Amino acid sequence: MKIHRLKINTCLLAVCITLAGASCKKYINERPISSTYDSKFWTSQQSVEQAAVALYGQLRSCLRQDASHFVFGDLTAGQFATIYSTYWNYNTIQPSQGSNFSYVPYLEGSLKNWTRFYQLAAQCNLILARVPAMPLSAFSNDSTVRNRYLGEALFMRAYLYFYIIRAWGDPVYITKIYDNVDYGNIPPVARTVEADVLKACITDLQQAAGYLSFSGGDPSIAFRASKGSVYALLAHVYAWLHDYSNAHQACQQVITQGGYALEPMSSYSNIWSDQLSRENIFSIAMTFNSNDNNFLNAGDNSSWSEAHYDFFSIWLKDSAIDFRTSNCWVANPTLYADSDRRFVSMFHAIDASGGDDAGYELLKYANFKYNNPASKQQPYINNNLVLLRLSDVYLLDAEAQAVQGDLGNAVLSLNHTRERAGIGDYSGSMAQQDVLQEILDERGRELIGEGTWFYDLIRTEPYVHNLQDVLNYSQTRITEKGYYWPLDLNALFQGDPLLTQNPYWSSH
Amino acid sequence: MPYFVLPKLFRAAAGARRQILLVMRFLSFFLTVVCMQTYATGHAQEKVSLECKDVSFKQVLTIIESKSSYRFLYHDSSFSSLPNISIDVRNKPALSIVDQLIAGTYLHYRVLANNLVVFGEGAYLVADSTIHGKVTDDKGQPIAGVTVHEAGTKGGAVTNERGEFTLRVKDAGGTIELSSVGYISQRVRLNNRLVFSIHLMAEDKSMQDVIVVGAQSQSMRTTTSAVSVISGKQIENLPAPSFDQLIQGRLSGINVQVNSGEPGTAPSLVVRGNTRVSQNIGGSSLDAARALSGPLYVIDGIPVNPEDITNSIDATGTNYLAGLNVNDIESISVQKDATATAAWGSRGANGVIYITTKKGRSGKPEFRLNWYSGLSIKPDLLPTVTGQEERRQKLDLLKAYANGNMGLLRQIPQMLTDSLNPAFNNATDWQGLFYRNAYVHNADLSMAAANELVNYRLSLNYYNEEGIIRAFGYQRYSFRGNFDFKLSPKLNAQFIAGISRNDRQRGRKFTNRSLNGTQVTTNDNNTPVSGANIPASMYRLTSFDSLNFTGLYDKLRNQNINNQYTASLTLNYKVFQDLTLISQASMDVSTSNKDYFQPSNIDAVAYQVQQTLQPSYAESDRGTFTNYFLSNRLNYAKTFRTGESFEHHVVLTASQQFNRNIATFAQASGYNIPSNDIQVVSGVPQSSLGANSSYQAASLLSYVGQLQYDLNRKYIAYVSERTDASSRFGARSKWGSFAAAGIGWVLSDEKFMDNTRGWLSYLKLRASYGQSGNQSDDYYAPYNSYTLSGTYNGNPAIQPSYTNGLTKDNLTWTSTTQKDVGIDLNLFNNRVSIVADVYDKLSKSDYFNFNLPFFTGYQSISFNATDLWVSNRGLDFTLITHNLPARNPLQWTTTLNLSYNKNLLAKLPNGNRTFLQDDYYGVTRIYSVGQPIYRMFQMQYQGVYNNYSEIPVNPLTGQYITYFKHNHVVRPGDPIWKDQNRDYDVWSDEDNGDSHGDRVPTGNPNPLFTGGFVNDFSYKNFYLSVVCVFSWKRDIINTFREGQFDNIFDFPSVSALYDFASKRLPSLAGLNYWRPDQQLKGPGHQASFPALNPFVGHYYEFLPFSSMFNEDGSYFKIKNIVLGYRVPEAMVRRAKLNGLRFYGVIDNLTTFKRSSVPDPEAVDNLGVYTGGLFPLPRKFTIGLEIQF
Repeated sequence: MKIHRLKINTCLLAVCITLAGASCKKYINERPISSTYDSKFWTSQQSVEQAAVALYGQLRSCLRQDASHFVFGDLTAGQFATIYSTYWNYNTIQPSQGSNFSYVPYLEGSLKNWTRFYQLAAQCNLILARVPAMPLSAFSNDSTVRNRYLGEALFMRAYLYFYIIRAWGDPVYITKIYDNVDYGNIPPVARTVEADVLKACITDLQQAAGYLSFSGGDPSIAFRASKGSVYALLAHVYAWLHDYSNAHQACQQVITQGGYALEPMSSYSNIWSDQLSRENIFSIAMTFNSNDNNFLNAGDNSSWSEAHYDFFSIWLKDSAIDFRTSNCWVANPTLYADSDRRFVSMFHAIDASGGDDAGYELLKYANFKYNNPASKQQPYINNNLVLLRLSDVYLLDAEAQAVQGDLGNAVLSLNHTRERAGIGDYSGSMAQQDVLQEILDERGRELIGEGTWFYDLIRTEPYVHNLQDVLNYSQTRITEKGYYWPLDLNALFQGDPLLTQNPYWSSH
Repeated sequence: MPYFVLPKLFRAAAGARRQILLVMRFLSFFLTVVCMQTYATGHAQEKVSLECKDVSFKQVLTIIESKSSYRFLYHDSSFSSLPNISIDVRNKPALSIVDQLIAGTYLHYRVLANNLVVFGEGAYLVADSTIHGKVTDDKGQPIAGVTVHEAGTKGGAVTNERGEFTLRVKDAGGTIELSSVGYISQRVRLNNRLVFSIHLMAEDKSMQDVIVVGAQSQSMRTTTSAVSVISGKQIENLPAPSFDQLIQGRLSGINVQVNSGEPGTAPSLVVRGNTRVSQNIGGSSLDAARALSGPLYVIDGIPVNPEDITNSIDATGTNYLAGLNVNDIESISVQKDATATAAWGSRGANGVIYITTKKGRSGKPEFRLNWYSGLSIKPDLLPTVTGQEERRQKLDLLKAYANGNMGLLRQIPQMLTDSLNPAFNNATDWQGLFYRNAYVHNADLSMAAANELVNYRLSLNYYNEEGIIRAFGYQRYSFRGNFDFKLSPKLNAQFIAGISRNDRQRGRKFTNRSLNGTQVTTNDNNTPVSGANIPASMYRLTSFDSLNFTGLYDKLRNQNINNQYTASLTLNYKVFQDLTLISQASMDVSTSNKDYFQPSNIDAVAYQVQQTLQPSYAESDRGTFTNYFLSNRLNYAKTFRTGESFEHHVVLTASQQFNRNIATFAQASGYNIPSNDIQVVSGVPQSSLGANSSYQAASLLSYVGQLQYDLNRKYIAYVSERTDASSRFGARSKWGSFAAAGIGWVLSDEKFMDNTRGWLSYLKLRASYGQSGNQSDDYYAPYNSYTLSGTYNGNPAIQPSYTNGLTKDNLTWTSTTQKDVGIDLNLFNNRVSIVADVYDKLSKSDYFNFNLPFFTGYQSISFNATDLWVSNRGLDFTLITHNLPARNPLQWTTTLNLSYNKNLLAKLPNGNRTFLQDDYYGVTRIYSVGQPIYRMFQMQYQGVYNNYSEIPVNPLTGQYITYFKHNHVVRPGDPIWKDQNRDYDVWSDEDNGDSHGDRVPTGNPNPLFTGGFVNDFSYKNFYLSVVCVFSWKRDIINTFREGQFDNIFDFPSVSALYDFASKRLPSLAGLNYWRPDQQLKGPGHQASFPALNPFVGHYYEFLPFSSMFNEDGSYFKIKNIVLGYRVPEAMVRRAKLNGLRFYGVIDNLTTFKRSSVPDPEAVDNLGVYTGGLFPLPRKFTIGLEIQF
């Protein structure tokens, strides 16, 4: 009996030990189920879709930070004034106050730091590295589906490097991904000359054009990259390189095959509203979405919430936004004729108040709402941000034609937007420089408050010299490319000892 | 009763005469084990007379057999060498005749039942004798469970509930040793006496008989580890919800700081210095709470890491350890050095605290009812001036600085000038709104009994403490059962089950963790108006204010419930005599649930006051943490002898352990609930609804081997090896190995120490060296988690986490190497005992957040920083003295525990690059090689410039020294900040990008010395215990005072003057601040504090970037005083009870300090006092304990 019991006990012991031993092996290789991770994520089309969607959301948060998109494109071009109180730290960068880009208290993180764009680059590179390695079966054996994602990532990578170049000049150009093997062992990378990067962007875009298709007249396509947006961006990149013949050809692709049409003046504000417009080639969705849980939890403070208050609110004042704030960027729209219907419908005269001068508030983004109207909680502005649209391409084409000496066609291209605005066809001097100045001014009128005009001034400076004549930039500042922003080396140098300051700002 | 077994067994063996010796050995083994009173029958000392000449010894015995009832048993050969005997005795006890005959021979004998006398040869030269004794404590109460054994033998007995024991000793002239948990072991010389009355003295740092190190039980005497033990007795009935607060000052080598008086929160508890270098101190209170490294807790064999639990499921902020009833604790041991912690391997790097709970002891069922109740007293309010006096002080200040300038005087706000306006003519001390006197109640009921088959103890506890801030409180209901079953002589089972419920009221305090990134509040957010924001006393307190400020929104709901369920089954099977198999399976489930509701202030009064509409909000959080623990261990214990005098003891333990944690969490929340009468998440519009849930699991598989060896219990050696595999590490680096070795030498047992025996009772030297480790906090650390960042155009977007987005296959264990040298010393018959340890602990490869270069797209990544070394060196010292002789009716024991620890960063990543970080309150901390962790980094404040002649002039420019990067030219009344870099400008940074500016390392928030000083007195039936704790050489910073000055005297403008008028003025009593009018009195007048000028532009001079508000955080605190009275036994018996005791406790009586803060202990882990922290209340309780 004793032996019997011993046997039972030994068996029990053996069972215990084997059970524990066998099951443990499994348990010490625990994998997360509350979040996904690299080796699991890149296996389905659904994941790729989610990663691609993140491209646009990330771009949205890059542009929105401290309203940097409008700072870069509009505030520095002198069409707006920020006075005291809420926007006191934006003052020094206005042309009227000396365009000092190096002193921007509390805004260094967005205006002098490009880190956020590299998050976007990492996402592009990740898609471009992982998606080709996935089996085609994950995309229902349809290579066009897979190529579409590659096209989107290529487009976005070109877009972001082009954006970086227009804001800061030569980028640190990264096309690889960093992972497991790299941490603790990442060599520094120097800046690459902007022309080389732009050439690489052109290659990317040409490849993307093969992967993507035109919108076919569907305005909802504009929220993501399409062949139309690829050509529109390509036109801009060529124009930046002053390769205007290629720019013209790219514009023509958009105009003739893109399926876009100018929005009639009667519904002009639809371009930026939550209504869809056939004029839009590429825009960023920023209207309220009930699926958006960032909005609920963090109101307008989250960089990822779709609808936002802070970003567009810089244009709006009391009457439009129900006493939320009393300050705004006040426009001084000198380029418009009084009869310009854009001026009539998009501007609202306001008196001096709250420290602001008298002037005009811009009404392109004026759909102010409360998510909770009863308690006036969770305010947001329900507009989209348009980055590329047909008017822009018409005018860029006009510029390309004008620079190449085809002034007649240039004026024809220019007249599209003039006619819509009710200011009639161009009838002024046909001297090349005058035509180019007029095209530039028309861009200023048409695209005001869309974050582009300062770049137009930089691009056309060799022909019309507006930086020198209108914004009073010194010759040194122009030759040393002092129109680019300085980099915050205090923050950036630590991780990249090869990083150099932009030449003008290393001595100013 | 077991002694009936004995004769039966003997009879079975008695037939085989040749095996007598074997039988005897067998018997002696049984005697040892069952320690019996078998010898009652041997009392009949029959007397015989006899006279014989030249006969053999055998013949004498035959004669005695014929004249008495004795029967003799022997081998024929045993007596062959004895010479013949002649003897003539009259009427002498038979056995004394035998004694006389065998004196000087190698023979000995034992008397068994039925007067059977068994002879043996060899080792037993002296006859056994049976002694009786009673053991009592210094209060005269019997002590049950005392182990009594004869020195140099294995035999032993245990006292019964009347404190009585019976022991057979081999040498009536020898020594017995008595030992018991909580008492000083004592040696008593027998001197041939048979009846003893022995007093044992209670001991604070007891030589507990058995400690558990890893999977192995070791005796305190032969362990090589540095372990401090206290008995549960010493902390019972003290009014606190958890034991961690109560061990403060009672053990050396740990630093406990009770930094909040909020009932149910955890104190900080650090064993031998902090090893954590948190880079995340700028966030909420949670980050500050995690700034220090906490130990591993092992409760009845189950390892628990409370930090893991709070990290993953905490919704309520309640201390996990508060779930364990203090009065259920039998003993607590703190394991500090490498040999103690390495066997816990993976998680022992920051020390191990081992807790055992009480078991049944008494033979007959015993009921114990214990109850205490008391009062927590409202704290002293900070000195403040109110009403007319405040107005006068403010006006006086304005007049002084306006210096007759009418333009300035015209700006004085109406609030100050219009003294007749009833709205501004009040004397409200706002602090008084929030505090109250509060009660504390505790009731325990326990039932316990022990017999040979089962041993049980059941307990029930109710604890209820109100907070001294309104709407705060904590209640616990707990049940615990410990059962031991003896299933067979080889198998026994232990079953432990515990349930507790913790209900915590937290006023308006809402968050403990930032689950969704929206609600971050700090620990000190206890009162609605806290710290520096208290309004001037002139305001009238409206009824709405009182309602709002006292937190008694009648519809606010804040329910925080933590439940704990524990069950553990241990089987103990003796495979062979020396080999034991122990299997333990346990489960510990802990839940943390919160329900919160905050009504919308849609009612008119609230809207009128706040002007904005606040939507209603409800949240419901559910967290469950399940801890499974399985262990199998084989324990082989063998004693063998070589030669005459070498006795070897070997204990070899091999163990396998498996631990799995599963944490689940669910949350639902919503704004805009349709009605304020609905207080849950229900009927919320879709767009205002939020919900999420999470699941995390981690497992740990471990193998442990431990070998302890000693020779004659004098020379001791120990080695251990532990290997762990954790699921929290990458595929290539799961396994970690941790080894340790220790040696010990009981010097006092050496022959050459014989002449010191008079004063040296015990001396042991120990040394140990080994490694232990720690695993990552992150359950899925190697995985590059992708995060759901949000939506774009309504579609979900997923991207890598930019803060931890790279796969880390090589992530692995951190390691801590520790050296320890210790001495255990008892002097003067154990009246003085000293334990001292010197250690050197070096922790490496902790997880560190590295910033990645911007171009990677990732911000940071956390992995092992092989170049992050934290060094802790120090001394643990315990001195216990019994100040009066044992015979004195007054007994007085003094215990001093002193822990000295010096903490510094020995190496930093990125080539020892120094870095800086601001904490939540804006105090910069420096992380630099050679500096302690979290040292403050500030400009050095050196007083005030009284006049221009004192202000340095820049010899290059001829200008006065400037502050704020040349923006402020220094003038009289400005603080003196030391110009460290001698550029004649002082500021926290420089325009050229130098981020250090004129700052230098200043305050060190790590105390250098901490400890306790305990005095226990007893006189007849009274006892008194006074526990003091102290902390010395610690710097703290008073950001409360800083904030008050900064709020009031910064950036003057019309609105700042309004602030000056409308906020509470800091107490200026005794503050010799610089005033222009006093300067007129002549150069002899020296101010000692900068100007408080409400008119001129300031330059942030009151921010905590200078050392102006640093203070000495040392304190000495009378932590508690316990006075008790034990009703004399006679009276108790008359009342048909077994025991009755009354006691009273004063907790947190008084604090001696140097700083201006009310309680230098109530500062956060980083040494910051904010004025809003929950004060530690003074409590008065009385109670009684009845045994029946």
